[in-house]
Amino acid sequence: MSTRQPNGPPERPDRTTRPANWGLVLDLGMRLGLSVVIGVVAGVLLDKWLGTGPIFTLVGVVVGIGAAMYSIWEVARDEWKPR
Amino acid sequence: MPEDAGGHEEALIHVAIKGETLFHIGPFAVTNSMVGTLIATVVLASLAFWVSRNASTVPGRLQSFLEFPLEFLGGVVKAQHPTRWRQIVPPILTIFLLVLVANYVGLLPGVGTIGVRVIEDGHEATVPLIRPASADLNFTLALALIAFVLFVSWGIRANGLKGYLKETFIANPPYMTPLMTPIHIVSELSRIISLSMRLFGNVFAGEILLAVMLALTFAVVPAIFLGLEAIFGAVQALVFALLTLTYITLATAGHGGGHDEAHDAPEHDADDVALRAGAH
Repeated sequence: MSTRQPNGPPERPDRTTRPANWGLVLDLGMRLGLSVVIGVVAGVLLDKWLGTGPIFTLVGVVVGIGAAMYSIWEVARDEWKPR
Repeated sequence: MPEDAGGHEEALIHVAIKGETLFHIGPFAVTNSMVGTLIATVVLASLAFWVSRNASTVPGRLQSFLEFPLEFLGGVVKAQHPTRWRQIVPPILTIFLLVLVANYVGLLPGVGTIGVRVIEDGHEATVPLIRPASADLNFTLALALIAFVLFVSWGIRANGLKGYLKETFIANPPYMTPLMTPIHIVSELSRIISLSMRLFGNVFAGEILLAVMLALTFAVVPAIFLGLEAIFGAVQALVFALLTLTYITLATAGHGGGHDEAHDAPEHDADDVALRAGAH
């Protein structure tokens, strides 16, 4: 999937790797939102169950945002690796 | 709103977010989306049977048409996994074909429009006999769970059980583990939900759009949307299959790795010949 060149402009993905990149782009947008929603919903449910509000909701927000950022990092780290 | 013989008002457009029960076999409820899944399975099994009996070295038009997904997805998988593509292509192709045919079942005449009378909550109601499988969250969630098992098992095969668990549950540096473990779990959960909700949302929304257009307009207008749904059906099947492949690629890469195998493998190897031989 790599498009990065050490010295020069990025290379266009070839015919066989391009379709996989489309899927990735479509997926990332959705997972950014979903991660935050899962974190918040899990936090709210935990708070309701344990009666600790709003501690787990706040933790859920942090974990959700962290998971959203991690989703991007997971894809980007391969591209940033020195070759 | 039209009224039926019993005096109940029937809506112009029938919308049900879940599959509706047609009948029971013992405690097991058979829904209309199960009928859609069964049709898709029978179509695929018949095609597979026909191809296995009639395949020739020089393919005809129909054989070439049926081989196109194998060649296309085979090429994509091979570019990502030059040494493991033989094991990865079958499940990816199965997912693609099943979702594609399941989506196209929804475009057949009679699907969603031919109904049967059932007793629901004490009164009689008309329920569509067939519902496209992908318009039921149970089907898409089941497929997403299968995809999840696939990419987790490939992660374990590539990195070993110990390596996979270490990568998932232990952060680097280790003092970040209490923060990173829940993040990993949420990230994995978001994959399953994203895969299932995207397919369900697109196909279900398409079904409603078609029903609304059929009810509000006439002649050519619904046909335009039918054509659009045919494109979306193929795109969604491709997206589901490619995302499963991408997740497998990410799972097999590991923290320290990348797609290293791709750089070690020769550009044209024996697998190339095998892929072409398998396709023709």
